[in-house]
Amino acid sequence: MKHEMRLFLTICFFILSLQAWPQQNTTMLGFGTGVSRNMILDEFHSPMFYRGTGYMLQLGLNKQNDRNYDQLAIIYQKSKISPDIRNNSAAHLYRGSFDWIRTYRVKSEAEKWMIYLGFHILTSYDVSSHTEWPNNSYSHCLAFNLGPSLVLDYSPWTTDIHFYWELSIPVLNYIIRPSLGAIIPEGSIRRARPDIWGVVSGGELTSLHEYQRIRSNLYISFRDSPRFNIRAGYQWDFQNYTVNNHYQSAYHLLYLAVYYRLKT
Amino acid sequence: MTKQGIIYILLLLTLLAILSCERILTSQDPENSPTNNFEILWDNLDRKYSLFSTKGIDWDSIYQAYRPEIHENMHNSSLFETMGRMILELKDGHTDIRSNLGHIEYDYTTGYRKNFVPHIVKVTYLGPKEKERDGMLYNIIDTVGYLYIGSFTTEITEDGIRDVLDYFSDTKGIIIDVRHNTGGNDRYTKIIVNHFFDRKRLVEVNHYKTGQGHDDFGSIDRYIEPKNGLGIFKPTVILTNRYCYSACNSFVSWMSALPHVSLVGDTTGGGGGTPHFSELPNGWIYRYSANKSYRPDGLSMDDGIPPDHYVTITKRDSTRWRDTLIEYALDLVNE
Repeated sequence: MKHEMRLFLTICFFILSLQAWPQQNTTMLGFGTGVSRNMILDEFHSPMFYRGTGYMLQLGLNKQNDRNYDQLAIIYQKSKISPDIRNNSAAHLYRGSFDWIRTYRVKSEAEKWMIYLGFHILTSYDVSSHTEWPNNSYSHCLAFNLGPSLVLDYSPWTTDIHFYWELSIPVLNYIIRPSLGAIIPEGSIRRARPDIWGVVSGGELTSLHEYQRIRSNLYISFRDSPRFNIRAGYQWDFQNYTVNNHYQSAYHLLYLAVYYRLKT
Repeated sequence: MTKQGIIYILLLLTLLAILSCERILTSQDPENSPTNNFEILWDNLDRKYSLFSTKGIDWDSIYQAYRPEIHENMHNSSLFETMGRMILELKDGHTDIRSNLGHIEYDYTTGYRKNFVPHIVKVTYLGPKEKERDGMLYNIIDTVGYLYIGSFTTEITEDGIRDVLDYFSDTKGIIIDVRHNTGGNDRYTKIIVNHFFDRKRLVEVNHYKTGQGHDDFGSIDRYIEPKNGLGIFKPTVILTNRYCYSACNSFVSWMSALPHVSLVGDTTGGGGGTPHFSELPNGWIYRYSANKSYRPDGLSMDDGIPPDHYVTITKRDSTRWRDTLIEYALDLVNE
């Protein structure tokens, strides 16, 4: 019951946070694409790192004014990954994420700098499907993260060119991973609930001692016209989960996106 | 230096740290050495293999027995042979190791009769009227439907099994022969079984690991509930032998839960635990039973499913091109 209560409170917090979305005076909707370099160590399948290159698609909603910086991003990645050993092992890796960063401007006298502090809710689902092994070929990591975020906005020369850096470090997490010998989460087995709700509620609420994550997003935004911005960016993400089957993942994204100004 | 300059330098250093800290944060691939490969294999099985207690195996003493044979300069073939012998101690058909040097697996049929002569079935019982669908061979022998399923690795479709069972619609009963079927995908067995179930029934209890200890398990009941099945409730006989393993073993166990189904032949091979694959730093691939299953009456499915009627092929029948098990099953249906 304690477990369900924690999950319930986490969901309530998520819903309440969504309702706090502000009415801002600049809204931008963007679409981007790029290449990703992925690396995964998933001991559910192997003690070896699997690495590979793939593509990514991104849909973003950005709101910014003198008081707030909000970023909503949906990212999809697909890669084929393999270990650095001499066998035919390989896996298809699919990553989906739904990330929201909400930050508030910190007062500063510097004209070219804007510093924002706030929090994030990251939701990511990584699925790998081994191409050679017929049983238990799937593995996954579903993560819901809450924690602080820092956003720096720097425009050194002109207001048309901005450098941004978003940094998010989750501190409270809900993680759903396979159990030691089956894709069913351990919590689901303990409560003999193999159904969907059993799987969803069968994860683990963790903090920094068991799960660590850092996400850094660095991009340059160029105002091409009154309506359009072009972004070129680099995102780096690292996760480390140490319960049962050790899971470690990192990716690098290089992307280009076009943002359309919806209203001012 | 101005305040702004200090901020620039701090920011630059922070960015450099973030961009390059992956190397600091991530671990490295484990070392590829004979000792490390052996340790990884032993340790992974120690934490994840599910049948130590069921089989009464002392895994620590096996480590003590085999670890002294491992040294850094040993040849790959010796390492493979030692690891293979260690794995064979588990006496588990779902636990094996393979590499470019070969494949070492436990033979769970040792000491059992084959009880199956394929060409006698082909000539005498399937004959020229033999039909085939999704890898299943079938025919009507007098007034009894005969279906041979040699594998559950080939996809068995809903349409396929419906065609076969429709063909048997006017028969008195059905014989399903799964001898020499070494398993495959549980999904295909469920497609077949669905048509024979009258109501939701408990068919097995799956035990999954919930910790790293040898006895850390949680259990989940597994039911089969018929959905849009054809409702085949006529006398049905399943023919089994020791070669029936894994998904075939499950098929036999599930069907045995039904009152109109009889098992004829020999105890099946077992293989109650779902095999799980992994690999070693040197590229060798191994698999092991990652969970275990029990029948509703508490018997371990890894021990195989005993028949209701123990029947073996007689020499007399063989010389007359007769299959004793099929003849016995025909008599059971016609009783």
